[in-house]
Amino acid sequence: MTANLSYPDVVALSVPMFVAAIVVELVFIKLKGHGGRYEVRDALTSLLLGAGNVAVGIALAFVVWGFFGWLWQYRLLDLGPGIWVVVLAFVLDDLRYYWVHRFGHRVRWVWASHVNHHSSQHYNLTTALRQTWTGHLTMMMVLSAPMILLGFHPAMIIFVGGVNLIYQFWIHTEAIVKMPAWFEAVMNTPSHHRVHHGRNARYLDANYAGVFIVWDKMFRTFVAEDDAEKVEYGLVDNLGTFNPLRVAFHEWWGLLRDVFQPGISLRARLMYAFAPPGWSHDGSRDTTAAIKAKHLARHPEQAGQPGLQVGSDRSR
Amino acid sequence: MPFSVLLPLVVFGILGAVLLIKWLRLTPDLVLETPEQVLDLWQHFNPEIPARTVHLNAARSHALVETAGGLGVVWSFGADPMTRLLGTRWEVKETTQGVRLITHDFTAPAIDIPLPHDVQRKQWRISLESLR
Repeated sequence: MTANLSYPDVVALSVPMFVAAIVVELVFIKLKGHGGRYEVRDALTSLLLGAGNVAVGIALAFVVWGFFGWLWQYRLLDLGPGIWVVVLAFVLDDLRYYWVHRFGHRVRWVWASHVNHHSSQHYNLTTALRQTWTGHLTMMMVLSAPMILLGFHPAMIIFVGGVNLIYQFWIHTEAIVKMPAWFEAVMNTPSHHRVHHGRNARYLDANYAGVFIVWDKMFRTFVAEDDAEKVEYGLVDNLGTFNPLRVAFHEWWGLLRDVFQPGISLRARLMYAFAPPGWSHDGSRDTTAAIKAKHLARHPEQAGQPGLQVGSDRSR
Repeated sequence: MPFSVLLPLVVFGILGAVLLIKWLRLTPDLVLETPEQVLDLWQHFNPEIPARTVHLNAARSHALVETAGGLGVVWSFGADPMTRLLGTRWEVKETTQGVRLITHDFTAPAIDIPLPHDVQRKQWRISLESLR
């Protein structure tokens, strides 16, 4: 019944809107004198990574379509193309996104792909376009399998995933301080997502949501933006290069060097690939849990505050 | 969207955005004003590695930091500060513009320190070797 279902490529269709919104944000910052920072080379790197992401997506579309199409043969149901099915698919796909994103911060193999999105020390609309070139390598597309097997058509899954990505574009801004309280309570917003991009100890590994912030509240990963502590954007160890190739592949390079170094056990090699970022066989590096613990040792008065609960084991 | 539309849209979109950002000059490059500021930056990004002395270049773009762990560098990375602990694993080369630190770090493979005069370059090389 849904064999020939097709949807527009909403991400490609949104490119003019992306460009127009960046221009609006730039003019807003210029006129108001606040609301964000822009640096030419940083923005260029973000835009080139965005263009590369689109190119890789087009070149490797057959991988996703092939896998989804293969799964579709084994579906339990065919839920059809109805509007309520699309709405339900959007909500469930956002839950899928939450977990892909959480793995993206907790599993180094997936972090190696996702890290470049966090590699800018700026937070503006170009940061939203700083997307991975190596997402297919992580195999996180398997997390879409339950929905396809349940009967949501692959074209619908790809469509709602595109809408999800487009939603997340506008939240990468400092120009919007807060949305109305009811909106902040349910939806992912610039404020919530600024926290997610923070390298401050209290903000590490929080707010994985794509569209609905309720997932973070449900799974206890929500941290509200604290007016007393401005978000510092970027990585725990920031990159000293604007070269898009180095930005895109640096963590893969580091991962391979760690995995194939001489003189460590097989378990250590696997841990370097799949443990949380910062894990090391000799304890010479810090995971997020260690970073938070060391921060609390320097600032014991902050113990118990959101994002700094003692014993917190969330990663970066 | 046809590729013949998407490609020019992306190319000219990127070009236009970059030119506009450059023209508006919203965020100036970071200037390392004083050694005290450099020390503060070092401690902020490396709270477990105490800094001892700071050697700031005349352009106020780069500073060498002597630490318990060896040589550290703070530099202006566009609008933002950047720091690296190089320890003892680095080489130095003189260039026509100053000196280049080769770091063996994939994420900051070379740090170019502008030093316009020969005398400065020689002084910095001596300072660098003393920190090895």
